[in-house]
Order: sequence, then structure tokens, then C-alpha cells
Amino acid sequence: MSLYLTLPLVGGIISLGLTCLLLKGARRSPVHQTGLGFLYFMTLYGFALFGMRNSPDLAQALIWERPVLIATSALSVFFYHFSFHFSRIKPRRWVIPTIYLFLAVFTILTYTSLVVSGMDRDVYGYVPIPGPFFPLTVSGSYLFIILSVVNLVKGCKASQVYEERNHYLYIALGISFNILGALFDIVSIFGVPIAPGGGSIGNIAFCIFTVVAILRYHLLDIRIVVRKGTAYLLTSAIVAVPYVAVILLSNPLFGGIAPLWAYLLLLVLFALGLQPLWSRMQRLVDRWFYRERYDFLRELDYFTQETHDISDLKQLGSSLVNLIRRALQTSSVRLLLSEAGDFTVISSTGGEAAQLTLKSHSPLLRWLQSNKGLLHRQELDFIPQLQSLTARERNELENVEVFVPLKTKKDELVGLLLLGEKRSQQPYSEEDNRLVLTVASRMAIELENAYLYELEKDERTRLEALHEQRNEFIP
Amino acid sequence: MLSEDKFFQSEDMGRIWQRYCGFLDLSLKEFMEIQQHLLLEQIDLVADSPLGRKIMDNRKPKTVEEFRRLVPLTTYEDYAPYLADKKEDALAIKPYSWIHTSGRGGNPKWVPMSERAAELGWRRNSMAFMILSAASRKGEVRLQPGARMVVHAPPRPYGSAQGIYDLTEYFTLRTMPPVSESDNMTFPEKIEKSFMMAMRGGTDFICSTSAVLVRMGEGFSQRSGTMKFSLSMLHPAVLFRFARAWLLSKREKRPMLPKDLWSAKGILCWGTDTSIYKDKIIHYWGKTPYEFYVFSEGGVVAIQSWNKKGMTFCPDLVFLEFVPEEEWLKSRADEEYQPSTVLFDEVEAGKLYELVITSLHGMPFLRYRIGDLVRFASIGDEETGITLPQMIFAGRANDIIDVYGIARLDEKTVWQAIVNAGIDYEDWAMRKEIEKGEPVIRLYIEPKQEVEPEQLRHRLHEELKSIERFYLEMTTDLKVNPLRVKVLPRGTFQRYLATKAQEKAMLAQLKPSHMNASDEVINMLLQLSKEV
Repeated sequence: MSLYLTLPLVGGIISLGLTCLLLKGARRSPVHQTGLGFLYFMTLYGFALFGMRNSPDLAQALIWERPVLIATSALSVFFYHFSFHFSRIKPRRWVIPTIYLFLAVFTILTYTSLVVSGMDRDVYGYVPIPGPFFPLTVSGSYLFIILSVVNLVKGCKASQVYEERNHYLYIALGISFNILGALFDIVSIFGVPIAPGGGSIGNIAFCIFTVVAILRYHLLDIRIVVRKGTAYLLTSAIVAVPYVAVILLSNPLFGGIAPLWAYLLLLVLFALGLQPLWSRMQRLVDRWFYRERYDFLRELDYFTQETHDISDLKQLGSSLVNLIRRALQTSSVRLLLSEAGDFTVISSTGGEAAQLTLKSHSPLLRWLQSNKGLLHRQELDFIPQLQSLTARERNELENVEVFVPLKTKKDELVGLLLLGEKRSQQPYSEEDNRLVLTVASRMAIELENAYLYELEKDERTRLEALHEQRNEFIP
Repeated sequence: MLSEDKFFQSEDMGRIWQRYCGFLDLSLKEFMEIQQHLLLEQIDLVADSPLGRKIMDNRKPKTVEEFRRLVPLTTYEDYAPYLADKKEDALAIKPYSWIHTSGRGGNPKWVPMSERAAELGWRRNSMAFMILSAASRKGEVRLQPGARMVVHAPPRPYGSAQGIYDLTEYFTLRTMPPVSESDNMTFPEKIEKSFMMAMRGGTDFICSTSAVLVRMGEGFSQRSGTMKFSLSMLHPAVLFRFARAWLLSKREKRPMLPKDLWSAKGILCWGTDTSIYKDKIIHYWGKTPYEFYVFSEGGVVAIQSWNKKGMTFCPDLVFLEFVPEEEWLKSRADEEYQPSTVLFDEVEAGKLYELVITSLHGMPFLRYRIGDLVRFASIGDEETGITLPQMIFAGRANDIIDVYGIARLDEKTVWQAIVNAGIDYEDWAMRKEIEKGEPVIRLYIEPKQEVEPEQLRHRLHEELKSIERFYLEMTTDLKVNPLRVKVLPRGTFQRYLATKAQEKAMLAQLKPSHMNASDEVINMLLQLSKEV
């Protein structure tokens, strides 16, 4: 069976599998319900298309083509409805009934010759003969997808949660695959010599990305995926071109085709050279992505890996907050360390008040002590323990965007980094979060040591003073 | 877009639930940590204010234990010199608003409200009880900006009205009647206007007293089939609503009921009688009524969960202390006696306590006897997975009638007995009296039908025995029946209400109190009963 025939079947099976997955984890939310509607019709589309392509004659193919067209419209209608729920945009009262009315009318029209007047044979298989309403219905389906994109863009803009924005980007990627694939199919219908198959592949990608976003798994930051992907792509291109060139050039030396050991030897040599090359490529891509932050990020990385002179706590804290501020491009950074249970500021940058004290019974400290990871400001409105912060406490923390706990290996909270808003006024990305957590885990021990050393030093000074006083009085 | 609307725009159902109802998942330890933290912050805040210095006697406790040891229990009289004249310079922070509540002798009690207290006690918790009233399971949020709500609240500056008014400035809530109009309406006008509006556009929530809802249901049952048509009913939406309700009632072969006209998501009730009227409200309105515990000095401090059973206290509105029943009785007998208190993590299931609060977020009340009695039904609720003690409102502390020192009847118990006895009544009042040197409890009741007082007394006595274990023990052990019944003629309570309205009495004084009404009130009732 050719790829042209099997792709829709594969698409149908994958859609069915995703439907089951969504059903299994389904909560009774409108997002899930409309998402399921979309997947049902995606499944129907795959199986009906497989039926059409496997039909023995034109009449049979026409019977299958009609459900294909109905499924195409229905999935776009359901996706449009889904986009309202996903982006939490309230549609006008007439919108939802109208789109389902459109679907009902289109379904009826599909069984007339107004949409498809018959089937024809092309070099690779059957194609529908478009009726007068065909372009209208196809553009209608596309219109719904475009309108869905508009909704999703609005939702993405409204969202203040970085991870949620990531979900939107996943769906956007899925839609791009879908549109691209469908374009291949449409132009083939109008006689352009392209084998239709792109639509099925695009739909598979569309389904997978959408379901992943609906289920709201902890997704990889799409920017990291793109950044890493670009580095791998560049490295592969740089390796593949000379590899092929060397093979082609060396063939005459071996009197035709090079022996297997020559291929393997070359492969090993390239593999050895790959790692430094990949690192260089990654750095190059990082420079493109991070621009002015790049040098500070590297500096911060070195700083956290180096061993420091722990005798100067203030110097250590000051270097840390300055580097973090520049590397993350934040408006302010404050470092708080524990002093007799309460947490006070020892270093700050960016003009924030340095007089902040978090008392030992503060719910914020308790929460950070008993939970892992960092805390974003908006959580103060959601986590019940943190809702109990008083007006004074909330005012003091007004300009803090991220709370980063500094914990020792024994999971003891020894310090706290308070990061202000990013200068770009964008939310902190997953990569920013990861970076700052890595820095925090490395620095916690060092800062604790520095702090203990400082305490020790103070205690020694005090005892020495006492000793001197005693010597003055006791001859 | 209003600030609370934004959360509904940008967050999913789980997060919305967490924001408003997340405290139901707190453990007792977490609850107490929040209480302790906020109390210490409160002491810091009020210690230097003139009122704080007076109440704490110029001392500043450093721990919860020290606070409970050094600061005496207080009543409104301790604060009245400052609050009655709204002396803002005596307070720790400038109030965001002043609300009032009914006080003794017709004088209102003024209560300053801080911004943060209003935010948590009125706005957040009002959102929480709307969500929970409509939920049938954990995490279900059926509230959306633009929700429609029938509200029958007293005018501002009563706390509940101020709370609703505030809420509409932060969340798109279409109240019926609109908050801007309701201040100038009488209670019957509000009821009429709200349901007329709901006839056109429907309603998502109904927030009223349980008695009003039951009366409306009864009115529907009696009037059904003989409904008078008015011009306002000619609106297509109203006609459609009527037609649908009529079909529904015909299908079930019964009179038309409010539930046929409106399918509200949540029925929010206040009043001690809600649990008593529960079955009737379900019958008439098709939904289990939802209860919450609110007082002006704190806001909405406890709410039911989605199973609509016991109430859970919120951790961040007031610091909670409870006077155990034995201690409360001692303090009743001796006004100088300072009863000991227990904390929220020390209460026991089944026991009765008097509530003592310390307001938080800069509000003025410290170790304040609110005058309410609460009972803890259980420590936690297996059905919902809530681990915090589940509270039931038992009545006002001064509403208890002590009978022979054995049985103590609260308003709810008496009310339940009247309902269980199948007595259809207009209103009632009960108090302890002395008859031929013997203490008796006398019920003044206005039945809606002809009824034989002795038969009524017997039925009620039997019901009290079945509801109140100590009443049963008392009557069995002492072989006494202290219950007396005085049947008042029809129209007595209506005339009382009209007379009080003429006197421009405060809302709370319009009706006689059910328990321990004063001589003046009872004499007036008896006088009016002779006139009708």
C-alpha cells in the first residue's frame, strides 16, 4: 500500500487515539468538549479519506468524498468554537448558533451537486469535481480557522502566564502545519501536479499539538525547542555538506566507490569534531537569540561555578544581584538572608527599598520553605496561604515579580531573591526561571557559608573586645 | 474590564476555584498558621492606636498566648465611645467605609471597614459563596461575569448591602433590583421589582431570606391557575417563560411553582431558619438553599461547601476564639466572670460555643463577643474531603431559653419543632415567664388556621421532646410540661409591623424577636391582639 493511501488511515488512527486520550483525561469543561468534537471529525476525515482513496470506482469515491468534505467543515467549526473556550473569549450571542447553522446547511448542500458534482481520476488517484459552491465552502472552513487564530492571538495577549502562552504557541504551530498541508491538497484539486498528502500530515501535526495544549502537559518552552532545533539544524548542515563532499571527492581515489572502512573512519572523525562544532553553533544561535543579554548570561554562569572568597558577604551579594539583573534584564533584584528567623535585605540593585524585612511567621516564607521551585507574583492572588498576606506586606512586595528561594541541600530556606519586573515588561520565560533556579541552588550554599562566616567573625570581634576589656581591668 | 472579571478572562476553572474556594483545602495546621500570623500583624497595627491602647491597656502582647492572657473579652460598649461618633483618629488605619448594623435600643452599631478586610470579607467571599452555591462538585465554577442575581438586602450602609454594592464595582454582576435603585426601595418593592425583572431575563442566583422564598412558594401554590395577567406580562420573554412553566407544571400534574419559572444556579439564603425551611425551598425553588455566616464586624466569615452542609470558617478575616458552653453559662450567671476560650484547633464536635473574634487587617475589635452561639457538627467533612471543623449557627447568645437548668432551647430548635408539628403560622415569639411561682416557657403564636391551643401545646411539646434530648430528659425526670401556648388572633403580627413602621423603627426592630422578647414587645403584642 502506497504512502498516499496509508497516510489518511494513519491520520485517522492517530486522531482516534488522541480522542481516547482526551476522553480518558477529560474533565467536563467546554474546552474538552469542543476539543473532542474537533477530534471526532478529524478521525472521520482520516477514515473517510482513506475510504475515498481506496475506492474501486468513481461512484464509490464520491460516496466517501462527501463525508470528507463534511468532516473538513465540521472540524473547522468545532475548532472555532473551541478557540473561544480555550482563549476564554465570550462570543456574541449569535455567533455560535450561526456557525452550527452554517455547518448544517453545508452538510445538506454536500449531498447535492452544488458542492461536488462528481469525481475524476488524476495520475495519483481520485479528485473531486468542484461544484459552484465548492470554493465558498472551502473558504468558509478556512475563514473559521483564521478566526480561530484571531481568538487565540487575543487569548495569548491577554494571558499573563508564561506557560499558558506556550500552549497558545503550540496550537499556533499545529495550525501552521494544517494550513500548509491543506494548501498542498487544494492546489492539487485545481490541477497543480502535486501529490495530495500534505493535508493528512498537516492534520496529524495539528491534532497532536492541539491535544497536547488542551491537556496542558508541562510543555517544553517552544522558544527553547526552536533555539536548540536551529543549532542542531545548522550543525547537521555544516557536517553533512563536507561529509558528502569528502565522500564524493574520495571516491575516485578508491577507484569507484570508497570501501566501508573509509566511510566509518570519516564518520568517526566527523563525530569527534561534532561536539565542539555543535557547541560553537549553539553559542552562535544563543547570540542571535539573546543579543545583549548573552555576555551577562555567560558571566553569570561562570560566576556561579567559581568558588568565591566568602569573607565578604556584601561583595558576594552585590555581585550576584547585579549580574542577575543584567542577565535577566530585570528592573530590580534584592537578596534577603535569614537573621534570627526574619529575612532582611543584604544587597539590592535597581532602586528598590532595601529596608524590607520578612518576619519568620510570614506565610510567604512558610510557603517557600515547604514548596519547591520559585513563586510568581500572580500566585499571591491564588494560593490560599498567600492570600492572607496583609495590606502592608503586599505593599512592600508590590514591585516583586518573582520570589526565588535559596535552599541548602537539606532543603532549608537560607535566603531569598526578589526579582522585579522585566525591563521589557514581558513575563519571565521558562528558560529565565530555570536559569535563576540553577543560580539559586548553586549560590545558596555559598551564601550560607558566607553568612555563617560573617556571624562567626562578628562573634569573634565581640569576644576579643570583651577579652580586651577584661585585660584592662585585671592587671 | 473590572478587576475580578479579568481573572475569569485569563484563568481556567481550576485557578478560579483555587482563588475563591482554595481555603477549603487548608489543613488545620495551615489554618492556624494563617490565624497566628495575621493576629500578630494585627497587634502590631493596632497597638499604637488610641482605641487599641485602651483595649489592650497600653500593653503590646508578643505572642498569641500573651494576647489571650492580657486582653479581656470585650463587647460593643467598649468601642461605642469611639465608633458611635466615627472617630477615625482613634483607629489604627483610616477606614475604607463605615457600615452599620442593628444595635440594642434602636441605636445602630457603626463598624469601620478597612480596605483589605472589605476585599476579603465581602468581595472575595461573596464570589466564593456564589461559586459554591452553584457547584455540585469540587472545582465546578458556574459563575461568569454578567451573572444575574435577585437580591433582597437592606439599604446601605447596612453591611450586606454595602458588600453587594462593593462587589458590583469589582465584578460584573447584574443585581435585581439594581444596586443604584434598591437603597430607596421598601422590602416589598424590592421583592416585586426583582422578580418582575427576573421574569424577563431570568436569574442565575437568588439571594434572599429563606422566609421570603417560602412565602413566595406558598403564594404560587395557592394562586396557581388563577394567575392575574398584567400588561407587563405581555412581553414575549415573559410570555414564553410563563408558557414553559405552565407546561412543566402540567406535565408533573401540580400547581405552577417558582422552580418552573426560574432555574437559578444557586439559592443563597440568610436567616437562622434556612435549615428548617430547607425541604420547602427545595420543593418550591428546585435547589438546595445555600447558607453562609455573616456579621458586620467581620464580613462573610464562614461558608458552606458544595455539599451545602456544615459551614467552614475562612482563616484570614477574623481571629477565632470560642467560649465553651460551660464557661459561657458561668459568665451569664456572673457578668464579672472572664470565661476562658479555646482556639479553632481545640474545638470539639457536637459542642456548643460562644464565638469571640478579633478583627484583622486593621479593624478595631479585639477579643470581641459577637453574641452568637455556634455548634461544631464535625471535625472535617468526609464527603467533601474538608479537614477543618464544620460549624452550624446555633443562635444568638441571648436567644437561649434555659428551662430548669437542664434544657436549653435555642431559636432554631423551637422553630424546627413548630415546623415539624405542622403548624401553619404567621409568626411567633417565645420567652420564659413565671406562672404561679413556677418557671414556664410561653409561646405566642399567630396560626393561619383555627387551632385548639391545648392541642397545639401538646403537639409542640412532643416535637420538642423528639428534637431536644435534654428537654425530653427534663420532662421525663421532672414529670413537668413547662410549655404554655398563647394563640394570637390573625393580623396581630401584621399590626405590630405596621405600628413599628409608623414609628420609623430600625429594620431589626420591625418584628418581635423570636426568643426572649422584652415585656414591652409582649405587652404590645397582647394589646394589639385585643384590637384585631
